[in-house]
Amino acid sequence: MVEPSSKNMPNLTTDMSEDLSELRNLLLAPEQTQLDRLQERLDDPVLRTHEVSRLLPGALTLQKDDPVLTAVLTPHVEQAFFTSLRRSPQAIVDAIAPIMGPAIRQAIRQALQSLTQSLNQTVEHSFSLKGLRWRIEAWTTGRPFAEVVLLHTLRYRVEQAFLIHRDTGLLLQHVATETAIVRDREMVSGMLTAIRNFVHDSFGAQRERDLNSFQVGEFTVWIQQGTNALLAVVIRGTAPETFHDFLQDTLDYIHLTQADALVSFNGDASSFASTQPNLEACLQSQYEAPAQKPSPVLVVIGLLLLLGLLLWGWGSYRDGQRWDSLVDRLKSEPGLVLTTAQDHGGRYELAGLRDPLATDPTSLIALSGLQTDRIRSTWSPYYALDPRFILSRARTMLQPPDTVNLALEGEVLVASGIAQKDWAQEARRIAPFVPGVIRYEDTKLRTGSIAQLIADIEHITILFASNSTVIDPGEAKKIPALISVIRELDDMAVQSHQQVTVECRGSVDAAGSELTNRILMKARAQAVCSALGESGVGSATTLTTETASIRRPGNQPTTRSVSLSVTVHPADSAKADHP
Amino acid sequence: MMHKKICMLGGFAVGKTSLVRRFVTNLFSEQYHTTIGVTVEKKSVSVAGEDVTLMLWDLYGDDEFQRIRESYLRGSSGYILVVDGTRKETLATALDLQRTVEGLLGPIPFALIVNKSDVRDVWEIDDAALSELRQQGWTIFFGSAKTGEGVEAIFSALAHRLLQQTT
Repeated sequence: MVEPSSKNMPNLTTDMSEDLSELRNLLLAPEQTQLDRLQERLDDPVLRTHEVSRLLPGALTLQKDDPVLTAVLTPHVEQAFFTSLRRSPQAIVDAIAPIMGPAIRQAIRQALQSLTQSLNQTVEHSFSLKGLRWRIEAWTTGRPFAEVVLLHTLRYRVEQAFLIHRDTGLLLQHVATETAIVRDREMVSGMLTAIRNFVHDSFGAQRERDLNSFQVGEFTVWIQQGTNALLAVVIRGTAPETFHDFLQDTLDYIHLTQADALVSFNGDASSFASTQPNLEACLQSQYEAPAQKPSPVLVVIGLLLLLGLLLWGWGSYRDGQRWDSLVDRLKSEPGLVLTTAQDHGGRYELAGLRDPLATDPTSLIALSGLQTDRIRSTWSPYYALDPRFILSRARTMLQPPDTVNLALEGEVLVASGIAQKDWAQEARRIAPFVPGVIRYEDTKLRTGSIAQLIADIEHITILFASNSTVIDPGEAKKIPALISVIRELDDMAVQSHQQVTVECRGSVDAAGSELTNRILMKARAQAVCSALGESGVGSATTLTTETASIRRPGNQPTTRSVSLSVTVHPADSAKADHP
Repeated sequence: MMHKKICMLGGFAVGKTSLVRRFVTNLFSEQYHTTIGVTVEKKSVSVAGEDVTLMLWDLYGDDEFQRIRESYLRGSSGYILVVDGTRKETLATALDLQRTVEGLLGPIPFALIVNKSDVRDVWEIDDAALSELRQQGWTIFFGSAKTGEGVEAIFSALAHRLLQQTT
């Protein structure tokens, strides 16, 4: 028997190892293979990445409601977003442009609606008794009227929000509206905590007995409790209970995002600056809805329309009245015959006949008050047979002197007075052609001249009996005719602005002494002057007696007489010579 | 800016409110008003170039009728014990309060001020008792809300310790 030498030992060990390995392979080959594969999957980063990429969507889906995952991913997503924004801003602009356009339009629309609502409120309350009371309040308190209106129509407005560290009472963050009156916010934060602690200790230790709200005048303070922080809001008015939920959600979110900072808070609140947007979201407000009342702007517009309608109606009525009045006036106007008068809805049409001597209808239209450019009028000429127009027409055509009077007696034109023969003859020729005149009558018209009348007067002699100074009845018959002629002359003198002097000249025969004869001449002249003067000879005529004697030869009756000498001279001038 | 909550603690009528008022507004009134509950005041101080705002919780005086409520103390970074030098029993009250606070909040910075140093000749508290406390590590000031003595010093000292602790 040969013992195995020590030199053979390594071979033996090697053999055993191989055997064991073979045995292990035989026994554990499947498991070993699996282990190797697992090892490979764990060690190979590429393989692991592939596997995780397959699992990640499912995992994220399972954890979609987990706030922790959201909180963890948010900073990475934000960082990635900012990095992408810096590198290629245009891509972001292109991506959000379709969203931003409608969003901006929506924001502008809301701003305009808000402005309109504010305007509505102001207008609505400007014209009411309540508005007047608020205006007085604004005046007495020195606040703008719009602010007073807003305060009275306010349902609620959150004016301040405090984020307070629960244990220390120190202020972590604070926001306020622009109009809020903010005192010392740190002290308010401390006192709120102190009051809350006092109430908590006084009425029980349970959480639900914490001080959740209290009222101070027109303000209500709501305190939302959290594990490490409080959220206190100062509300003007009455907020809906659902606002509690909003506050609690906000506080929960802050606890989630600021968990570490809240736990390790040492008095430095700078790390809570990022909560400002969350607190600002709490500054909500709601005003009285205009509700059932129609928009004051529409009311004003409606009133303006109504006012316009009333003005239009009043204008139409007034124009109608003026039109009727104008038509009546035109119908009654002599020399105008209205044949058409139509109202075409504010446009008027007039037509008719017009005597040339009638009033101009255009002036009547102008006086009516209607707009002349809205009236179209057409007038055809005609001769009116109204006596005034016939006379007027006759005067225009005949051109009578002042001493002639024209009158219409029925259809007969009558001329009277004194006129030159030439005019009288011309009038006789033209008068029948005057429209409306059937016949011309001038029997009352005297024709002649001053010279003829003077000759007629001087032709007459009043005879006297011998030694008589009394006018014989036979001779006295000449006096009225003489007076008539003198008066006629007087009329003509008046019309021609002249004066007449009639001189009575006495005459005697050759018998008797000169003294007697002188007495007789004077007495006979005075007798005739008296006889003329008693009857009246006219205002422009003066009667005088001649003192110089005219001795006539022989003893003829004609020498015992009084003759008249007439002179005509301009008024207020010296006596003119015999014409 | 750093904010710190500090509580003013002490027996009844030792001058806590007067000290706070002297510190905050530099005013003093002889008229006494008892504090009901708590009053919060604010004062900013500068310590070694750093500003810190002290929120001073002036608690009502502790006596046999009403004990300090723990909820007011919670969250304090430090506290000041106020003792009336003319009333010996107020020191005992301060010691009780210190133990209470330490039991509740742990070893946080505090300082003790013996008030009414303007009438030191009528003090009942002797130096021996105070020396013993100093040996235990207490920071003790003498001061007067009436004259202002020691007021700035104790608040500044406490603020300094608070900032040291923070850093």
